[in-house]
Amino acid sequence: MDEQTLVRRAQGGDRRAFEELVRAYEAKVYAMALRWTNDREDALDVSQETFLRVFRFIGGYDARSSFSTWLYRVTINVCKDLALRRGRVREQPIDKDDDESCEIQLPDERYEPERVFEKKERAQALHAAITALPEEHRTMILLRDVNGLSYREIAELMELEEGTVKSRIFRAREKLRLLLTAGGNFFEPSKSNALKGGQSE
Amino acid sequence: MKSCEFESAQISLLIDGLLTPSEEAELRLHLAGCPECAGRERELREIRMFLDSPEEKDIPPELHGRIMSALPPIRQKRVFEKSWVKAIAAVAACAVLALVFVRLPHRMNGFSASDQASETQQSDGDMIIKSPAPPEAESLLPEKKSADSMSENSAAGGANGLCAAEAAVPAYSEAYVYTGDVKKLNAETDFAGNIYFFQTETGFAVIMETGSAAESEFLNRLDNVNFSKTDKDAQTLYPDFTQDDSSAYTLYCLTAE
Repeated sequence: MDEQTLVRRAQGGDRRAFEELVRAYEAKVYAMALRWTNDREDALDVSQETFLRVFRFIGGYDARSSFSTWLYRVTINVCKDLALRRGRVREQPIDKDDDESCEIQLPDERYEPERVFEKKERAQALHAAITALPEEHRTMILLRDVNGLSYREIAELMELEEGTVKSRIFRAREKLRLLLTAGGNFFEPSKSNALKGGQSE
Repeated sequence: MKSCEFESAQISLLIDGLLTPSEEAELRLHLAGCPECAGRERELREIRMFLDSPEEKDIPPELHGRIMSALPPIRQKRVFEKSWVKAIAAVAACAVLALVFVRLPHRMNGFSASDQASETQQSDGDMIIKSPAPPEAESLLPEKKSADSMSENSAAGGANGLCAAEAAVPAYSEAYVYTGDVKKLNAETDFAGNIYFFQTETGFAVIMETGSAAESEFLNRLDNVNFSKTDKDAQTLYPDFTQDDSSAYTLYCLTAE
């Protein structure tokens, strides 16, 4: 059964059709929520709330945009709502992101400066860096690298031009790179030491 | 030193597979000769691999169960789910909305606080808003005790006539979800299908089942009105409004010009 048929049936109240949709997307929704919140329990809450909202509003979903686009938009909103409720919001104006150097909290490297982070520390470092991004950039990176949306789909979801999406993803990645490099040893040791320390002038 | 700004942007597109073969060839040539950019490419790929790695996404087995069990139960008992309601629900949605939009402008002109207090004042819009069962009404709203068929007929007749008419959207100065003291709301409400509507001090308000066809129709009719929504649910805003699943309703308020 193709997706549009499933959606139509779900709109008509077919619970089994809705469950099919849940099965198709729950892993992606969870993965996105986990990247955003960095907490397993929160990510479960987000997943639950996301599908609940989708269930309630599916009557209003119009087939002009793709279902997954709408679903991910709801996911992001739920993530943001959760952060708001927890008081974990740090809004950053998008145009300031280029040269803003944000501090991120990372394990103390004073005693083992050359040690590459353990997996858990890498996860922490990455999450801290992602959280340091402005919300729009964070959304784009996660949609692209966790949910695998194309640039066009991201553009549609965020109601931006594709060119804007391209340049913002590029800037977000650059920023992530710089944060991770400056903050510690996220990256595998490189062959050449000259590569460490970020951009050269 | 060169800044490689252009090449950096290309690298981002490269890892997303968005370069043409010739662009890619050109970039790879650059990467071969620029350790800086080569490192950049490697690091970006590493970030992505980490974001996307299966262990990191380790899906909890309880995920599906939690999602499904959070959905509302399939058969919901509602306080107002009476047979006469079901009989006219679909028709009433359209009819009521059409009536609201066609009638209300007359009602709203000259509306003042004093009107609210006066039960005797009747203008043509009153029958819908104020009286639950107006005797003279070609009422589209069912009398609570009357037979289904009578309600159905008048509703159907009314609906056809009014829905066929292109009801102009009246002018509203403000549209919002009510956040004030709910006791100020006029408690006289009426009900048709899954819509409650009533007067407020400054206009009227409608409570509708979120995501319902009636709500879609309502919003379509008002597509040039921007609602500033709160996340409060109808139960919080209007405690007298009793039904089983209060969070599935949205309250829309409009203030007449």
